[in-house]
Amino acid sequence: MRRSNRSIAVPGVRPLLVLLVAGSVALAGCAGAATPSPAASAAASVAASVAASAAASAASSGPSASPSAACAIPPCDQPIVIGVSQALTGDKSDPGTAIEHGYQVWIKEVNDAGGLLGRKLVLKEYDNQSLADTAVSQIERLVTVDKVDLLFGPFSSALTIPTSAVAEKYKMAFIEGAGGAPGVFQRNFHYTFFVQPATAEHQADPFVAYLLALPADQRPASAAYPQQDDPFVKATEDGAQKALEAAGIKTVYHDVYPPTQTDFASIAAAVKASGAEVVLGGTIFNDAVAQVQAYASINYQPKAVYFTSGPGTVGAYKQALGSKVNGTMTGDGWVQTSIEPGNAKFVADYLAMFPAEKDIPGEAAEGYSVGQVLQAAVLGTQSLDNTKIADWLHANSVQTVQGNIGWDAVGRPNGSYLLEQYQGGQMKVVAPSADPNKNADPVYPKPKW
Amino acid sequence: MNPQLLGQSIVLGILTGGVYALMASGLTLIFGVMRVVNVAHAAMIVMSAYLSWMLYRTLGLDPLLSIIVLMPVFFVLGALGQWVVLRRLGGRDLTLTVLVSFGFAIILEGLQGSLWSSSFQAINTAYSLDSFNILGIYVPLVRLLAAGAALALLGALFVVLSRTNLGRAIRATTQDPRSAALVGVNVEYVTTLAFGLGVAMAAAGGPLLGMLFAFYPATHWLWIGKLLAVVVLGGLGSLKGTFVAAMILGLAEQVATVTISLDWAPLVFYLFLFGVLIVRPRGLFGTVARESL
Amino acid sequence: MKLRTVFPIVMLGLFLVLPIVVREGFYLDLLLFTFMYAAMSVGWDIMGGLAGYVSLGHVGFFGLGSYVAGLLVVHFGIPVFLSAPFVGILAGIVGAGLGWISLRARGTSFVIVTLTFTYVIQLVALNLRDITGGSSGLYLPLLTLPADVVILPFYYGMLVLLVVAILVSLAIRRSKFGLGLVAIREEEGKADGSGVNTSLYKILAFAISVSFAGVAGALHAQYLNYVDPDLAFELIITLNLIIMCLVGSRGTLWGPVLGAFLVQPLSQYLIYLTPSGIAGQVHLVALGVVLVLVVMFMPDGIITTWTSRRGGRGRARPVDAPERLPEAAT
Repeated sequence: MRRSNRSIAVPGVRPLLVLLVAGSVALAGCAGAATPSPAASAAASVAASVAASAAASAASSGPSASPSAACAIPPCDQPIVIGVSQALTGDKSDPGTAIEHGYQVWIKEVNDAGGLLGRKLVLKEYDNQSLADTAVSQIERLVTVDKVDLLFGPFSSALTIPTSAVAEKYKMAFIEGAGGAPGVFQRNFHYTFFVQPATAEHQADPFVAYLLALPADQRPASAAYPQQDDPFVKATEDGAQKALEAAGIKTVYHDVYPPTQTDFASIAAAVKASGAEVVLGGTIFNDAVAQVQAYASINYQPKAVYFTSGPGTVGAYKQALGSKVNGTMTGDGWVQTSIEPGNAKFVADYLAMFPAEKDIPGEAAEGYSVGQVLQAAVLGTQSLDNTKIADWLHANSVQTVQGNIGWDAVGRPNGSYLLEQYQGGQMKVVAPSADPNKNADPVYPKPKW
Repeated sequence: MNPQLLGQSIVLGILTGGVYALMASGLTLIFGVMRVVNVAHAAMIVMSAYLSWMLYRTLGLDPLLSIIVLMPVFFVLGALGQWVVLRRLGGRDLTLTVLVSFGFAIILEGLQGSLWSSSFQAINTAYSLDSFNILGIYVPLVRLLAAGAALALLGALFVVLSRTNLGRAIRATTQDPRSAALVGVNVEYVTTLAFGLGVAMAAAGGPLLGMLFAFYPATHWLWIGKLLAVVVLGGLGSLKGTFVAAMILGLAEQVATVTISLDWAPLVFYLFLFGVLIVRPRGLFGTVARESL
Repeated sequence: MKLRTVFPIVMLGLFLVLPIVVREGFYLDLLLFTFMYAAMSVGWDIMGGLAGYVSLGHVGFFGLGSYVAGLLVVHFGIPVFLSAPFVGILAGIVGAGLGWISLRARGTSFVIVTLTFTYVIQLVALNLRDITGGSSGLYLPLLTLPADVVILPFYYGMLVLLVVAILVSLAIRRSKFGLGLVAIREEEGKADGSGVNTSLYKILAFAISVSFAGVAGALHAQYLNYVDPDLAFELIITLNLIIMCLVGSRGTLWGPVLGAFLVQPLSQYLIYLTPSGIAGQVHLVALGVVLVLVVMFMPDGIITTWTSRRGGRGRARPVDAPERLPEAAT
């Protein structure tokens, strides 16, 4: 049974007892005071007036937000609280923060349009420092102490895997934008949903298809796979390597370096010595930059270069490499110029909210899509019942800024990625040809570094 | 095995080893004089890398030139830190000094994280990607410059230690502080200057690290592992041993990368270290006298 | 009976019945992590406090325990709760090996070798991909228990580990072995001369010390149902152990326990109370500042400082004053 009144000012007896026992009496007061978040109470006071004006503003909002006029699920004077344990500091803080920005944009849009089911949205958010232990404790806290209504997932598969088990235990829908490694899905969870167009092993599919469609005299004969030891990368690289080998493109270099590798001079020398015509770099971000620099500094000029991620973080990538970005390819679920319904609004609202940024990180779109998916499910079920929401998501697909996404029985999405290439310093969508977002033809062989 | 590739990795290994030697020199010096294992040494190097990166981005100051700016600043801060903090701890209690430097390491890491976020950074200058080709071996210009700078600074450190009064006092204190005091060395004063000197060497390593490798606040843990291993292998407190051990590390890493495999390459050096310690518990150049506490 | 004896027993009784009253997973989670840290701190203190050798490598054994227990359940179906004690013994054996490499010489190599050990074992876990799953990690089968009781085996498991750790520590303090360790801390040369086999003592102490980290790692792996090379080897775990021992009082039986029960809830609540965007950095800096301040101004920790003040002395006794032992042994 969910406790409905969230702003109890007196700490409960049990938390007090625990803390007493734990020998930190002084803390008990703080803990009790901290439980009802100030944001929640502040939001509660304005919720009623917002609900009243919701009908007026609903018409101006996005297509999916329209039936939010009247409060359907009591308590109407309380906001709907969404719990998040996010990697806001620590080694995953950059993508973690970007996703969080996506959540913020979505929440602001929904609240400006009168809320969800007539109630305001509030994010109850903790920083897990990119640590799995802390993330698990925080999900426990969000569910059992804060008693949030809904949950969002954290950044990266490594944090999603342990936290999704907690959500599954409590039967809370766990909609997440950044845990796409195969391990996320191998435990057959019912409540986990990955909000990207496809899972990791299909990320490079458009690139492979493009290479294999080249005329025989242009087709590369050999490929190199220098890759970081990372679950997401491994799934992508293995998928691509298998497909290319099956088509007769020889593997002349394959090696795995640890995430901590910072020195790429010897790697570049070895890749060059292998004579590979195409490089499929299994990269995260920094290593993509470092690989380009190392290749350029020894004058290695492959015909095509694909990185699993890195180039998609447009601003930072361009800042690090300048004109050397041209020609590199990557796969992505979203581009800023996407013509998907709702994307223009997302881009405009994001840039208004974060005016210092020019290039929106892909992770922000992932976070925003997570919100869109949740919104669709809540509206579809007219309920905050997490089991109903999960069942609904298994049966339906949702239009997001990353395209239309549906899920299989274990939460794997069923769409496909885009192939992108830097041309003239701009990120262009060059494949698949049938995709309406395609806005340029691939350049092959790529220009020299 | 492609001989050209092997040659390439040997050249890279030697150049990188020189930079490792510079980064480890301050650690060895401090250990030698004070028996302090400065776990914050690598965090200081990374701090210096960040400052050099800032100087380059805001003022356009070349990272090699920023060494000249950063060394005196770090020298003063280091000497101050020794005077205010370490001196209070009675100098030679290994446990407390390790712990206090551990504390400083994470304070620096937290500061770096809040000032510059946890993303990877690197110092990319106009000449960062230049290289030249000797007999089919590509020598990246920055590596050559970094190794040159490292050797010059190590040479200067060597001259200071062997030719100046301060250097003689430092060496006397390293061997035995009590006898040094008896022959008129002001041990407290010398220790403070030596600590400042060690921290200044860390400052010198920062810009070189930033030119060659990406860095982020938590990188210091990887570096302190490597650098302490170098210092132990070299025999704790021996500058000559440290230099040799750093060269071994540089070569082992680069050569193993092309001969064994990328992922096992970092292990080679550690296994070598463990092997040496099994045979010689005091490291390659360690002596009994040096270790007595 | 003395308060010193009664209080721990009362507390133990309280902890045993607590889950009947407190059902929120979060509080049990907080307590089980506190038990885990307390047990590991008591273990760390056997080496770091009694013998005076600082280990920076306990997290390596924690991760080793996580992996071994995980592999046993994944490849051979042996439940973690069965294998955990044996994982502890294995960690002890590996610890003895590492001790043999680094403890025969006196002094500093030990600190450094224990630190590098963490990197080595992490790299091995990463690189033996076919066995460990590499960076993808290892997925442990979930316990099939109802949502509100699934946490209890871990809660009680960690509590048992803590009790065992305290009993072992107590036994060591009352033995000749314990006296030998203190002699090593005070003056290793003299201990050597008076017939104590210092190398053996140190190696044995280290083996016992890390075995608790191994068991904790094993239970932790099943608690998260997942082991990966990052989360199994977080250096912050070692850092926490050191701070806990130091705050509570090194070289005392209850110091590490007190330290864990103060530091773990405090640092968790610090994260909840600071704005989420900076919480992690604040947490890190705060840990560092606490460590530096404690080392500088209260190196003896709460228990030793307090008891020596009560003993009528204005100034705290130096941490390694030999007369502290009988007091600590009680």
